[in-house]
Amino acid sequence: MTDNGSDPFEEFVRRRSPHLFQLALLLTGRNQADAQDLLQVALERAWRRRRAIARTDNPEPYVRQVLVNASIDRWRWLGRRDERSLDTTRPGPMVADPASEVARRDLLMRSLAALPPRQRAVLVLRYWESLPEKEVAEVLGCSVGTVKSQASRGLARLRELAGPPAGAAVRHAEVRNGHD
Amino acid sequence: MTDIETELREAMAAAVADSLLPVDPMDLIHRGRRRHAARAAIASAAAVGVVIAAASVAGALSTSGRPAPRQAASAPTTRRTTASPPQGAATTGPAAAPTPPGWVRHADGAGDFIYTPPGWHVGGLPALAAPAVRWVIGTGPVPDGGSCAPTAALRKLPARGVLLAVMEYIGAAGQPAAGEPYTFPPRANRLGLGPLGGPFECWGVQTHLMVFQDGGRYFQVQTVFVPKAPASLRAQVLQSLNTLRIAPLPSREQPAALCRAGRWTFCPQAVWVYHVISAARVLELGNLGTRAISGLAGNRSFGLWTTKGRTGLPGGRCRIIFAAKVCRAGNRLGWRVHGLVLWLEPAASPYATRPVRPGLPPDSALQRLVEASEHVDVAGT
Repeated sequence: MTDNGSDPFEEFVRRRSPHLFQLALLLTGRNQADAQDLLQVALERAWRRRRAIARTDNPEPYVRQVLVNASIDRWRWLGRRDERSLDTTRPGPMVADPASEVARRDLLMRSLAALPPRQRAVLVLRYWESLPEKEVAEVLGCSVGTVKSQASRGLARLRELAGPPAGAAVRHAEVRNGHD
Repeated sequence: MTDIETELREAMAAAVADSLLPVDPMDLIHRGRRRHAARAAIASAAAVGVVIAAASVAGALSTSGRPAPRQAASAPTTRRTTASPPQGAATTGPAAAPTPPGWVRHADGAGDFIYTPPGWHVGGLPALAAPAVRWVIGTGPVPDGGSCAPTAALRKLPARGVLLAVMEYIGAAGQPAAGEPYTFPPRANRLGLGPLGGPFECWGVQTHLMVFQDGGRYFQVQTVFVPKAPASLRAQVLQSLNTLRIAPLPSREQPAALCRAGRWTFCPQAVWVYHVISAARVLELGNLGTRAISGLAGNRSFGLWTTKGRTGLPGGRCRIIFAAKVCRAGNRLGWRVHGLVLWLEPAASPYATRPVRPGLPPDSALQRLVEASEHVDVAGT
């Protein structure tokens, strides 16, 4: 208990759960029910270890690690991944449209959801959590080199699935037309 | 920062910006703890069951000199229907949410049971020996009949109704498992309906199809909804499915024990190879006994299996494909991935006919296999 009588673990849970839930959402391809389940698993495990965690300054790395590993375990069996819709894995040809920013973001998110879970976790931790490569490697229990290669492959796959940015397509077309 | 990195960062931020956790987080923890406690209670009850079973075996040994034979999974079982509360002892599966009051328990006499809403019907077994039909459940009447699917019950399916069949794959007499155990993923915490596919040959209609392995046994559930079935019915079916409890096989017959005994197709690595094959769009053509899975690409069939990563790779004739060093020894290819070595070797498939012949896969298929092997995660190896 803290001086004001509140449980520091509960305080942490209440303060950081919204952020952790958002992390879970990204790790599960924006599936609300799965994200809630993941967060439950992570918080419950952390709760069981709350005394040990209380000795550290910040319980978040531990909870984050459980969350990420649970998300990878959850998707380990490819049967689950078979449920992806076809339009996720085979997005249609990109059409340049100035008003397509929302659609573009949605396509990127669907493409992210179609990546293998470990690759997705690397991209989420690296670009949403803004963790340095070393910390991403610690969370995933792998080498920095693996993080780099997974991030590079993940980004390449996203480029392939989502195509070039709408603006780039327009610019490319303009340049090409200029040469014609 | 490249364009795609910036875009991804912005897209992720936008995607979750307005997302709120719909429940109190402390509530989530307490719910999880209750589930954990229930699971522990079931585990201890199962342990008691194991002790009792061990005592029975010891008794049988002392009287006859050898254990009494286990009732074959396909043997006729006594079906009982009661409204008694759930009994978790000596069955597998995650702890279930409390069964709604009034739901009816259907036991098969072999220790398996499932609950259904009151008023639902159970029966309608088709004349199918393997897979063995454990239950056919419907909201309407389920008369017996059908050769390889409950087609008599299907014909009686009422408007806004549902029919589902729970089937078990069993081996030949005395054999505990399906021929292709790696095609059955372990039971998930929550059973779903599976994807809608077909029309299936036996059923003649499209059905949801879901397969899983539980307690060393191999199950398939097929579900048919009438197009006008309400969403609430789907929820009831899911709830009912998740009350399903399976009596596990003795531990010596469980996949882990069979794997330890050298039957590779029962190992988790075989499940992984099966997923790799699917992801690489290589056709699975059965297996080479319990030694390897058989794959087909182009008109060439080959066996695939794994060994531990410390197994030496042949040196000499190697090349790099997707960052993997793929080496050749005689007519065999191998590469290290996820701490394993994945091997390929020309092999005749039991299902292949001419012009298919044993051979290594064409380069394009090999590349897909290597790439998939890197992307598909290994579980439990």
